[in-house]
Amino acid sequence: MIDEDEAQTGSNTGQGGMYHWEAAYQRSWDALEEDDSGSLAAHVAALAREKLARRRHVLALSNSAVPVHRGLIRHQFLVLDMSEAIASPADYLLPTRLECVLHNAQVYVDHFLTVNPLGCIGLIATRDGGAEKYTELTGNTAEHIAAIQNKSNREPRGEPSLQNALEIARRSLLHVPSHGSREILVLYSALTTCDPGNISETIQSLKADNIRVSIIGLSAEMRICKHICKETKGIYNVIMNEQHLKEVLASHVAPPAVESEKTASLAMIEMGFPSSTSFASPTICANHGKPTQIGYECPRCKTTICSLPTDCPICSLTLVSSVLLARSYHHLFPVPPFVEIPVSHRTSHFSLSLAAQIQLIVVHVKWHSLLHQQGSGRYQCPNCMHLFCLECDIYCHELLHNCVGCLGGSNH
Amino acid sequence: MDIPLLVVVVDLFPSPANSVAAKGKLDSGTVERILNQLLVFINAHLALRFDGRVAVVAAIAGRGSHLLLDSADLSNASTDIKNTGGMYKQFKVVDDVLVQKLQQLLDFDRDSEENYNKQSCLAGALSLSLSFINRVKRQHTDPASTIQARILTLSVSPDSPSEYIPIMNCIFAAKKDNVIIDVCRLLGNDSVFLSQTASSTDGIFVKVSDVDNLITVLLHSFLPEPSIRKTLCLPGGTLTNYSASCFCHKQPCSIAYVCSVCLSIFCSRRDSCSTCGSSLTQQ
Repeated sequence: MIDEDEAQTGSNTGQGGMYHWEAAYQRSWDALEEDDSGSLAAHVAALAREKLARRRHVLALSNSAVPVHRGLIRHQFLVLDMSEAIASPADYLLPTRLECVLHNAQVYVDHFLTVNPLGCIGLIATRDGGAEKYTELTGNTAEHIAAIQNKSNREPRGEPSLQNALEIARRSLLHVPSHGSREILVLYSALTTCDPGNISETIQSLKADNIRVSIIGLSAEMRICKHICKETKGIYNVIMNEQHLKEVLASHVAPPAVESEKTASLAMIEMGFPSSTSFASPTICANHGKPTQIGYECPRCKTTICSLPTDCPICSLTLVSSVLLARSYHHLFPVPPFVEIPVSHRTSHFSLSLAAQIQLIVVHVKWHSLLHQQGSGRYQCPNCMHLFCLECDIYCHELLHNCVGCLGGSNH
Repeated sequence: MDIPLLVVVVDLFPSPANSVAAKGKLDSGTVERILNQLLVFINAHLALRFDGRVAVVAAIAGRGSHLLLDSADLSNASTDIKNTGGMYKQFKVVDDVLVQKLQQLLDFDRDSEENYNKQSCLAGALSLSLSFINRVKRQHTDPASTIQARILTLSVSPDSPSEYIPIMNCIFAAKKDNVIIDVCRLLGNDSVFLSQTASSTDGIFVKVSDVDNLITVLLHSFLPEPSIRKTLCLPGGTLTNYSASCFCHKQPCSIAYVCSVCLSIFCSRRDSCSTCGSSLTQQ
């Protein structure tokens, strides 16, 4: 936890008009304060609270109350720069640049496939002046993580080639159906690229094929990267430290808003939601040819299937569990951002008794020792006027995606 | 060492006083019988472990969800502690607080008829329970132990289609937090949403048709902690209906048309998506 806090202090310095390398060396241990009994617990708790407040701020910026069109069927290639540049030392990515980037890529893949249940991701690495495909486009998290953890895949070699990587990704993305999005995300460490031809032609063909390229620069800004992202309507970020890398990657997890001009290629997809059934005698699964007693039945052709999600091998109906589909509904019906109630605002018109209010304030004064620095710690839903504490505010927006008050809940 | 935290969600659908109990609704006598058996179950949970913790959330149709009881916070209980009548003090306090709070809730504008025609607020109660569990976990600072939370839903009210998405959100939050949601369906009627909830969160789904048998089911199936359950042979079917409910008519359907932008489900082909407004071509 202390490490993360250090990283965050670093990012503050970076944002405060001064570059990371211009800042004085930070003695993070000097900031620790002992209380009367010599314990650090109070200070650590205050740091944790500060972190929560910052997370709330980030959430409030990214969440909007108005649902936007989002393409939820995504096809994305994640391009990893595995050239020697990733082995170069970086004091802002610990323990080493390689470990840090691959670890965060792994977390990203997992997170991406959780949030986009019908999405697919593929991995491409560029090294030795070429590019190789680690995994094909698939929704299976385990396959990608195995590829990232494979030792021979973790060896940095030679020069990177942006053009080769983009071309391989482009050619693979050409086959995906038009109703899904086509995206490439590049984690680029090098400041050079070793290309066999004219990269402008690649950019033109990417544009023509409606592929969105986003690049995350892990060292300094490069003009060609910025140009590619601008032309293909992607986002170009250069990260400052690990915390920033995590934030930038997290911003790529949420499905992007769909542009109105693209709506022509949208389609209605027929899907089946099979119920699980148990068979009196073992039945052969149509997908794997193995006998099974508990399985799913395709609602159209009654074929037996052993696992979801899949395409029916007989009638090619897309079979999914409705639970899987429901995972992305919170993008459609988001919880509105809660409004912070200032400390001075004690008289209220909502349905709280005075005693309950006083209790609430006392509890929060107890919890927030740094109350005056960090706001009141009281947040209100604009729809149902219920009050929430910081913990519940973040929980409602980050994980639960339900407002307890709007669903008829009481204050607690 | 895990500290067991049990959150009981009591989802009641009481019918108006002095009227014939309609289908799926409970008369006051049945509520009392359920409550009696629930108290025995709660006391049994507290008796298993000295540090066991219980919270009760009531979801009363038309009256919102309320946190009735938290066994770790009984400081303001107005019970006569001296006169426990030979009962273990903690049981007595918990029972009294719960009965008193529930009584208040049920007596509250008992006469107004329109309150009884509202839909269930189970999703709100589950959200409240999950937020409560999250807060307890956050406030728990002792590194030597962790909170092992689970939710038991005693449910009566029928599925209300408008709650589909909030309940699904609860399922994903519960999975992320490792919270098991068990479902005990009273009066034996089925619930598609709740059977999905139980099977997706590794909980068990049991239907109880005779209310007087409730205590047997509670003690045998729902009392064991998740760590012990692996060695037990518990009831609950493996069959779950994964059919979705369409957004247009709120009807369950097994083959549907899904908008590629927002994944809204429709039971028939249409030219535009009513959720996100995109115009869709036929595939």
